[in-house]
Formats: sequence, structure tokens, C-alpha cells
Amino acid sequence: MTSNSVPTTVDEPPRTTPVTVPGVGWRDRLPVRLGTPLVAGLVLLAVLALAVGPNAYLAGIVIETLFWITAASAWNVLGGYTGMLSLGHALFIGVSMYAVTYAVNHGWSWWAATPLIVVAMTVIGTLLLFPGFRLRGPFFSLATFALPLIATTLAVYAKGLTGGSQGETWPVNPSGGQFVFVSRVPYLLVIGVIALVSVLVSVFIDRRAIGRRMRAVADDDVAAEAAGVPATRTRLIATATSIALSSLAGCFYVTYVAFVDPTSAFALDVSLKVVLLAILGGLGRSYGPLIGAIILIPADSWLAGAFPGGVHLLLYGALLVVLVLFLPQGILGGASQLLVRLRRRRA
Amino acid sequence: MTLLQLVVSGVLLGGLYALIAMGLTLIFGVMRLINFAQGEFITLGMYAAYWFYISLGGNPYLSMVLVVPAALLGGWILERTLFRRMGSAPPAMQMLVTFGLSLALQNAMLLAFGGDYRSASSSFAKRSLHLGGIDVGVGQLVAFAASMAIGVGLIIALRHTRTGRALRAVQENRYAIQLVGVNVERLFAIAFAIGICLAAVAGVLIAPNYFISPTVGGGLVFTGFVVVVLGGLGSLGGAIVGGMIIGIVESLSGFYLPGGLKDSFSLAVFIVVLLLRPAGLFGRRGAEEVGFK
Amino acid sequence: MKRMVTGRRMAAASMAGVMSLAVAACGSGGSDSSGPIRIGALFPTTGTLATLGKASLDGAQIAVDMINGQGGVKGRKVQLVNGDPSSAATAVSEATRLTVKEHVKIVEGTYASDLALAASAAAVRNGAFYWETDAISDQLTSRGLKNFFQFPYAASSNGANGADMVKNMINPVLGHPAKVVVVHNDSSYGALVAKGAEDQARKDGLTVLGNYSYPTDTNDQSSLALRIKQAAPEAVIAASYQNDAVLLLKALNQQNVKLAAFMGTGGIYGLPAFKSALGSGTEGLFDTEGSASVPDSALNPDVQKLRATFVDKWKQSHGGAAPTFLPTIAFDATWVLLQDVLAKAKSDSPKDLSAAAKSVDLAPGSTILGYGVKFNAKGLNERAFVVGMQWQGDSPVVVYPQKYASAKPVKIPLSPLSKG
Repeated sequence: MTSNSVPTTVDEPPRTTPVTVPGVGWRDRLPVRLGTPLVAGLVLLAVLALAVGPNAYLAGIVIETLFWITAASAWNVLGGYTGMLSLGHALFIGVSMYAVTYAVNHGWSWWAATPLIVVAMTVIGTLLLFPGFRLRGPFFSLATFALPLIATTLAVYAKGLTGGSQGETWPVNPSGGQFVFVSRVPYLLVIGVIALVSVLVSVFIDRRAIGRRMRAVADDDVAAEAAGVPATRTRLIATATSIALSSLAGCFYVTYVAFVDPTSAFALDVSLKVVLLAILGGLGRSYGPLIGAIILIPADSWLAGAFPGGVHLLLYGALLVVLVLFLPQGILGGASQLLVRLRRRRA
Repeated sequence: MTLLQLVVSGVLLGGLYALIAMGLTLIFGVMRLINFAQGEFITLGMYAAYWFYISLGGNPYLSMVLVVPAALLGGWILERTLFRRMGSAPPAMQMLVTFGLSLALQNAMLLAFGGDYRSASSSFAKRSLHLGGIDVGVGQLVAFAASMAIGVGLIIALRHTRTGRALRAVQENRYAIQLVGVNVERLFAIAFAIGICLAAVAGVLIAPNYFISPTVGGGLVFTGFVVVVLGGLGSLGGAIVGGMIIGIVESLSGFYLPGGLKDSFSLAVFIVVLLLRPAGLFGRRGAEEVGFK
Repeated sequence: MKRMVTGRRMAAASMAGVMSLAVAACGSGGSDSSGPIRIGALFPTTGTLATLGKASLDGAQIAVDMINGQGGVKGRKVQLVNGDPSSAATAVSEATRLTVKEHVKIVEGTYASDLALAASAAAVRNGAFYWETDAISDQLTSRGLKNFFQFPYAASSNGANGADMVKNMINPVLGHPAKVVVVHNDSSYGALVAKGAEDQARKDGLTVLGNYSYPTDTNDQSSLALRIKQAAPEAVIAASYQNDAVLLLKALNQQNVKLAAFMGTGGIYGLPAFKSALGSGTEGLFDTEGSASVPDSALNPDVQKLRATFVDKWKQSHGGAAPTFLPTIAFDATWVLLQDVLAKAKSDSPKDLSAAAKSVDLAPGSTILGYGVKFNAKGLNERAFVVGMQWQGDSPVVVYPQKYASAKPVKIPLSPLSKG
């Protein structure tokens, strides 16, 4: 599908060649240097927590942004790197929101329930998507699109587990085990660490053979298999990683919203927003979702305040159209193209 | 008798779904574009019918004389200004544009018309017929008949006109047809204009039966997507048959199953078809595996 | 290597962004005891709930303007600080913004129950006092949330009133306890109303033939109409939103389902849009809900005057149309909040406001809806009530209970019932 000769990233060979180098290259023998982004991320997070922690409004925006960084990075692993454009990621976020709410309301600690739910969600979700692996492009998109719709009706129906259409509320009294705090700082720190992990996973994928395999599968899976890339295994890895991170994001998000109901948990908006953020930042780029979320989520809340009454959504929609028209490679793609052009001029 | 009534109701509903799905599937088949904004064009059609009914005092159905040319022109212009510019952008980007368009249109309508529920319920459409123990609403019957006529007309046009054959050829292989020297861009604009027009016509046809508000079209398009995949992406005949199946399944499951499960049942049918026969009932076999290159 | 540079640059850039936001935020907000009393107003003004959310906000604003016209509360002007909760998640962030960034200590809202649930939990968690003006979910007061008060009745009591109407108006005509079917969309609202209706119907000795739910966003109601036809009830009690209600009645007509009575339960069933969609088909249909049109005789004399003033002001700003229930209750609730809670509280701290709210004891007829005000231990106003209305001609009139009725019920049975 993609056979453009323009290099898509600054320090990578053109995308026409990855099929020929899917194996283990010299870079893979070196330990991946995640140190710099890890330290930078942790320092940034600590500063953030100190700076905005006391101001719950700002903290709210930062928490939202960090959540969307996680969710969009998770989607990017599948939709960006591997080219499987899921339109149903709200399913994994929503089911995890329900599961962890159920667990906490039945006496579990959030900290104990979350890892179990993430593992279970990953296994179940991967099994669910597996039959869809042979669907390509828009067919995969539409199949995944239907999943949250089904989940919505089932959640409304299964009143005993989900509280039906009324949804379930989170406990209201502060408790560390149940993840109910008055201060915003614990929320900031936990979602910050989760977001950091999700970005580091992307960086890791980006630099290892698995990333090149994913891209090879995305570009042309027949050619990739011919070149020795295990396409199905690569898809499985991408799916599982993507679902695990989405599930983690969901387990956190419900502690912050303190409420889950079928329409908000499985909203089309959620499924589309993760796609939007990843594309805006740069599809299949490790920092793409991060950039997309940092720009769009605060802008979204500013627009909502500055232009109330539908105007902000109108602007939001128009902005989206304009961005895609003028920045089809996303912000990072646009930036790297600009860099390439500048460098050529200098040379 | 109950069963017969349920099937008849389902078929009538299916006609509506078919009409909505035909617009989606035509745009998808030719342009490979999943148009999330289709529902907003249905809503615009409904508002046009309402305006015609209230301001001009006309039968809402007659607004068709204005809606059809306006929608064709609007669709043509949109394709020229928005989607043509995107050229070879990945499908995800194009999808995103339609999503942005949907959001912008929906909220523009909210600003322009307010969120009130309006009704263009003409006394003609309110009547119901009693035919041999089966009850049928005139409004639904009109929508059904129009939908079938449009569907059959389109299928014939695609088979027997030059442009129609070119549209079908571009669905088969858009690169090959370019080599033969056909102007693909013109075909895209035609397909998009007709697709938008179908949505607006659907809006006019259902305006007498439903409340009109800025968000009403979006809900109908969900079902439209299900029908499109069921029938086979890109297949008009598939859209009609798929619409009937979903209509009848909804009608029967609404009666025999606990009410809350009505929606999940038709979605389950959708998933099963997708897994057993991913190209849909009438789609090009194998298309799902290459994703229409 | 270049990647890391990018990473560091990016980190620096985003940190700078956050810092500037933090600095900007410190300048705004702030409250002191000499300035206006600022009350957060959370009503959805975008999205699908925009129309009715906006109407509620307008009603509340009129109350504030009138109080300010009288010199405010304790000599201080009152100011509404608006938030726009268009979904549960934005309800949380908007409630947080108002309470934390805008330093609002009192929040009112929210019209829709799911938004109210999310917003009130967030606002109270941030130390605010929450005054629900028009959402009616039973869940709101069953959470044990402190500093939370719900001015309107609970949803289930609306359903229960539907059953009572069948018992008191339909049974006498039939000469036996009516057979009823309850139908509801699968929204939270629909489920609560239906539960209230079914429970009360059993208590009232009615025969409940079924309680059917259907998807809220249904495109067709023929199947439901057929199920009802097969069950052959004498009365139907229905909890619906908009399209589902109209589709249901059209389908019932088409299938020629014979009923002694049809009880809608608020929402679209009492609105002019219902009439414009069904035309003469609304004649004789019942609707139970809070009503903005209890007769003057049910109100104290000064409250009659207050209502007239409100209606005038509303008409002036809304093209001459009379206010419906939602803006009226938003006005009423805001009025009571300002006049009977805020004005009587020792301070505007949530604790003092709660104490003041708990001691409010207004007899029926003290508010423009005819409500009294007395909160139970959970914070629900026990003296809010619903009335039974019937479509007669172009608008619904109050027919039940006798005390508030402005007309006699007609058209019972609704359609000639077949014998046996």
C-alpha cells in the first residue's frame, strides 16, 4: 500500500526496504536504550505532580492527557505499526472499567484486581480479535467497529453484573486500596507511570526487530511472509500489547471518573479519539500519540470553555478536517519532512 | 398471522436500512471510503423536508425536487474540495476527515436549528392500511417502495450505462481502469454525489415517520454499517438483501427475545457472517483478505 | 541518537507548556465575602441533551436575575458560573473545574441523571455543596453522598403515580382491577420508572401482564406493539424518550391495539412536539410527570404572583412560549436554594448550607410548582410530587389528583374495548 520514496522518519531507511531486513539486525543485539526517555519521563512526571497537583483543574487536564496518551499509544501499536485499523478499542477500555469496578465494589483492592484484569482482558481480547486477522483494511475496521456496540447492549442487559443502563458508581469514601483519594497527586502519579510505560513500549517496538516486522506486515503481509516474517505471530504480539495497555488505561480511568455506564464505557467517541490522536501525532511513530494528546486534549478543554454551546465541537470537527488535509503524515511526520527538506537545501 | 405481520414490518424497516446502506456501500465500493458523515446528510434531508412542509406548506415528500439536485451538487463539491485533495492518503486519514465532517455538520445543525424535536408528520403519511389482517403504515410503505425503486433503478443504471459500467469497473480494480484511460477522479465525484444524494433522499422519506433533531441520522447509520458489511462492501444488491435480513431479524427478535437483546442479536448475525463469509453475502470473495488494493 | 534529542526537546517543551498553564490558572478565580456569591451551574448546553439543558439553565438564570433585582442574598449579588457537562466524563471535569479553578462552593445542575451522578460525586469530593435541580434518578440519593440534595421527586415515584392513576381512574370505569403492561426503553431512566410502576401496580392490586424493555435507540416498534397486542392489557404504562415514544404510539395505532388507557411517564409525552408528531392521535393519552401547570388554587397567594412574574419573564425571552416543566423546576429549585437555604445559612460553607437545607420546612403550595420542601435523611425532597395529565385538545391538562386537577378525565376507555 505504501510505496512512497520519501523517507518517513529522519533516521530510518526509506519504508520501501523494511521487508528485506525483517530479521535480527545489529541494533537488536544491543540493549535498547530506554534510559533517556525513562529518566526524562520520570523527572517530568515528578515536576508535573508537584506543579499541578494542588490545582485540581490543571491536574484534571493533565490526568486526561496522560490517559489519552496511554490509550492512543496502545491503539498505535496495532493500528499504527501493524496497520490493523481498529475502530473498537473502546471495548477493551470499557470492559476493563466495568471489571475493575465490579472487583472493587466486591471488596477487592484496585491494586490486586488491576493486574489480573489486564491479563484476563489481554487473553480474552486477543482470542476475540484472532478470527478477524484475515480481514484487511476497512473490513477489519468495520468488524471491530461492531464490538463495542454489542458490548453496550450486553452491558445494558446483564444488570446483575453491570448495574444495567444505570451503570455502577465507584466507592466515594477515600481509601488507598480502592484508589479513592481526595488529592489529585496519586492519580497523576499512577496514570503518569502507566503513560510512561506505554510510550516506552512504543519506543522499544520502534527500535527492535518486532517493530520492523510489524511495519512489514502493515505494508504488505504477503511479501513480509515471503521474506520470513511470521505474520500471524507478529499480529498476535501487536494485538496483545495493544489490548494490555488499553486495559490498563481503562482500569485507571474509572477510578478518576468514579462512574461507569454502558454509553460512556463503550462510546464511539473513545474508539475514534484514540485513532485521531495517533494520526494527528503521526501514525506508527513512537511519540506520535504523545504529541497528539498533548496538543489536542488541552486544546479540547480550552475550546469547550472558550466556545460553549456546540461551537467548540464545530471547530473541533473543522480543525480535524483541516489538519488531515494539510498534515496527512501527522505532526511528527510533517516535522520530519520539513527537516529533510531543510537538510537537503543545506547540502 | 403474528409471524406474517412481524415479517412484513421487518421488510418495511429493511427497505429503509437498504436505502441507507446503498449510499454507504456505493461510496465505499468506489472510493474505499467509510463515510461517518453519512448520517448527517440523512438529517439534512429530514430538515429540508421539514422546512418544505412548514414554510411552503407542501407535502414533505415533494421536497425531493429540491433535495435531490442540492444533494448531488453538495456531494460533488465536497468530493472536489475535501476528498480529492487527500489523493493517496491512507484510508485511516480519509475516515478521519469524514468523522470531522460529521462532528462539524452535526453541531452546525445544532446551532442553526436548535436541538428541538421537530416533526414533519403529514396527514397522508400518518394513515395506515389494513390489508388482509396485516397492518401497514402509509409513511413506511412509501419509504419502502421508494427505496426499492431507487435500488432497482441504480442496479440497472450500473449495468447498462457507460458511467455505470465504469463505476463497477473501478470497484473491481481502480489501477487497471486508470491504465485504460478512464478518468477515475470523475467517477469518485459521481459516486460520492450519488451516495450523499441517497442519504438525503432517505432523510426526506423518513421525515414523516421520525422526530427530526441534529443527532437522529447518526443512529440510523450505525445500522447502515452493519447492513453494508452483511451484504458485502460495495454491493448494491447486497445492501438490499442485507437490509431485509437485518430488518426481519430486528422485528422477530424484538418480539421473541427479551427486548434488551434485540440489538445484540442483529449485531451477532453481523459478526457471524463476517467470520464465516467475510466478504459479506454478495461481496467479491477474497476482497476482505487483500483489503481492496 | 537524534531520537533522544527529540525526546529531550519535547520534554522541555511540554514542561514549559504546563508551567505556563499553571501560572495562568493562579491569576483567576478567588472568592471573598464582599464580591458576588458564585454558584456553579452545570447544565449540558452541547450534544444531544443541549435543548433541555439550555432550557433548565435559562430557568435558573431567571431566578438569579430576579433575586439580584431584589438586592441579592444577604446584600450580595448572585452569579452563575456555567459549566457544560455533555457526557459523564466531561461532567466530572467540569464539576472539578468549577469547584477547584473557579472556587465555587455551591454547585447546581444537572438535568440528566447520568451527568448528575458523575458531576455531584466530583463536586462533593472537592468539598462543594450540590443542589440537584431537575434530575430524578433514584440512584442520586441512594449513594449516601453527603452535602447532596435533590429538589425533584424520584423517577420511581413517577412510575408509581402511573399505576395509581390506573387504579383510581381506570378501575372504576372497567369495574375490575385493570390488566396492565409496563414497557420501557432500556435507559437508566426507563428502567427506574418501570420498576416504580410495576411495584406500585402490584401494590394497587392491578394484574401485571408483563414488563417489557426495548433498546432506547430503536428504529421500529412494531414488534413491541405486537407483543402488547398479544398480551391484551387494558392499560399500558410506558417510559420512553422521544422517537421510541412516537414510534410506539404509531405502531399501537397501526396494529389497532385496543386499550382503556395509555399512560406516558414524562419526557416527550407531555411536550408540544408529541402533539405535532401524532396530531389528533394524542387525544385522551395520559402522562404522569411533574407539572408546571398546577392550578393557582394550589399555590399560596404570594407564590401565585411569583409564578406569574416568572412566566412573563420567560415568555419575554423565549418568543412568547410558556415555560415547560424543566425550566420551571430549575427556576423553582434555584429560587428555594437562594431564598430558603443560602439566605438562612450561617455561612456559605457546605456544612452550614447542608444544615440550612435540612432545616427547610415549606408546606405544599410554597413553590411555583406547588411543591413543599422537606428533605428526608437521604437528601430527597419528600414534598415534591408528580401529577397525572391528559391530552385534551392541543395541550395536556391536569386531571389527577383531584386537588390539582383543572379538568375532568375524558375518553375512558381510550378505544372501544372488545368484550371478553
